[in-house]
Amino acid sequence: MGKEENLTDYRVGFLKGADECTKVIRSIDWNQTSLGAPNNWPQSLKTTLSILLSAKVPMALFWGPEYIQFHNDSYVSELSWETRHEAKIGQAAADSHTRNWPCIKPLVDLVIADGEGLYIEDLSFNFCYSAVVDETDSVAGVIITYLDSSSKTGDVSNAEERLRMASDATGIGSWDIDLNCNSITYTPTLMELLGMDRDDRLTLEEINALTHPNDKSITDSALMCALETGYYHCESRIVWLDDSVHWMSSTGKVIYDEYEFPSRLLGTTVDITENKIEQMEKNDFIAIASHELKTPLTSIKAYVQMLKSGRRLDDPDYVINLATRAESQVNRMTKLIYSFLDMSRIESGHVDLQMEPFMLDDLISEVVKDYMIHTSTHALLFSPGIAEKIEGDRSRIGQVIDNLVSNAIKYSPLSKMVEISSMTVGEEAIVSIKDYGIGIDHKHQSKVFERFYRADDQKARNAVGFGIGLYLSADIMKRHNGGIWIESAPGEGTTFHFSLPLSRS
Amino acid sequence: MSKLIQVIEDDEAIRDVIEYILQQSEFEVNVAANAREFKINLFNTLPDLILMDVKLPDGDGIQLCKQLKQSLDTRHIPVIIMSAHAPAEASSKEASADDFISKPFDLNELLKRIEAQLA
Repeated sequence: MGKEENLTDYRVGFLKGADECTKVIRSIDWNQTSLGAPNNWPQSLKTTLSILLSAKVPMALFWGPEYIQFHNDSYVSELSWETRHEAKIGQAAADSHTRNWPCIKPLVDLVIADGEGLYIEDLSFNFCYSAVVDETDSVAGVIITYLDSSSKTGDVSNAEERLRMASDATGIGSWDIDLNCNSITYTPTLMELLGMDRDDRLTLEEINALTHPNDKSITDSALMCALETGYYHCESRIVWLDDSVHWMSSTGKVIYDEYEFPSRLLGTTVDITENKIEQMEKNDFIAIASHELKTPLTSIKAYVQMLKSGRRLDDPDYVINLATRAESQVNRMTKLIYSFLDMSRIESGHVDLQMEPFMLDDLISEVVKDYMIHTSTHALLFSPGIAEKIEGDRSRIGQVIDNLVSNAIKYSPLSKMVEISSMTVGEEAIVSIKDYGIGIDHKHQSKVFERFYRADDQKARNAVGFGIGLYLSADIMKRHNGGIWIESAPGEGTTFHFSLPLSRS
Repeated sequence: MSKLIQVIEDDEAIRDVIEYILQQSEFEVNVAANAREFKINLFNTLPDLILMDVKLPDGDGIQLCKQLKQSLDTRHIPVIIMSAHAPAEASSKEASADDFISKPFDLNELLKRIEAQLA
């Protein structure tokens, strides 16, 4: 039997349609299959096919014990990722549906066994499995309807939107610069990074004008470099309208047009101010620490050279004097190095306290006596006033007193006196160390206990010392459930107080 | 008559050792622990050479040097700046200092530099 004959034969009822899949069904010699000629098919199959072939959503039918496959035009166009459809219609699914059949078959079998439909959600399609009951009241086939689910989750614009939301949430501003007309589009986060409202609209020119004047050359050369290499990277400062300065890191990629000319620059910007400040503080710290270590080293080197010269070696007093001085500078360096180590211990949380009850006034007297031996510039006056013991780490608290006394001397070069007093107030012991030095103005007072903090003005900047002493002291006090605070007026002097709970239990 | 050297250094140990070494080399020495003491000394006697630290508790050696080099009374006095802070070398040049010596220094090198300025 020829194809033309088939076409005429089957051009009846449900097979009258002009759609491609109906044409394929008409061209098949059904007498060679287990289903036989279409006019002899059960009414249930004919009805199902008439619905399926005229449906405008992708549908497939698996019929009978061999799972003979049928589908419609919509299935062909929407599921183009499937293999050639002509080969599948009229064939057993196991032979034709090569790619997906192993996944589909168990579901089809389930529907046939239960007679109930299934609804499966997937990334790009939701699948609706329905049972087709034949004239013998048994499930003879399963229809799968493919419902496009991309409007909810899958399409490209949605993916972009989700990416944008994710980058917004992490504080990343995205932007797209049209290099031909010098215009920019961006996400609202970029505006926030620039200190604007999320809804503000700025031109590229206005955004560029926010760059710190000293960093303009950096951003210009980053752009030149991007046009050559295709990649943009720049770390520069932005000045907000309130004059505050913020570090930004921007990374981007050049997009080329069909003539290989750079047409767009796509990129992201993040605020790196905190990292930058930390980095600068660390650099400062290294500079200050190396300066502090070189100072005792300078006198040690001099003492050693004087001994090496061989002069006056027959004078024991001279030799002992030089060696004693050298030793005291070595001790000073040791103290410095220990405070570096303490600092890294604090950062990593490994500070152990050796708690014991002791008389605080005795400890203060020891520190004061030690300073009186080595200090010729200042007199230290101590008025003790605590009759009870406190519980704490004696050497750590000694470190705090030492640090506060050394600061008092350091920051009062023109005065001759430091006053130390102690007293009991309620359940606490309070120690005060008062100098008549340069003082600290109000706005800097709360910051002196921060890591690496040093007063920013010229006078204090040139004073020796490296801002970790007070940071360490504040940490030690905190671990003792004590407190540390400051009273100061510029030009009049500073008083540091610290408090510790008395050991009355 | 021996030459007078004015030393400005806030670190007591370094100040003492420089004073001793210069005296051993037959110099007259005036010492100051800070900018204020230095200005008082300068008011009394002009030295033949100034040896100065940068970080002072009440001032900045670089700024002091600039002032000295701008004043008609003191611009002829050689100034040697000493510092443990490496970038100070560049700023001491800007301040027209005659020489710079970095800490820790060699005592013989220090004496050589001083003698070169006084020659």
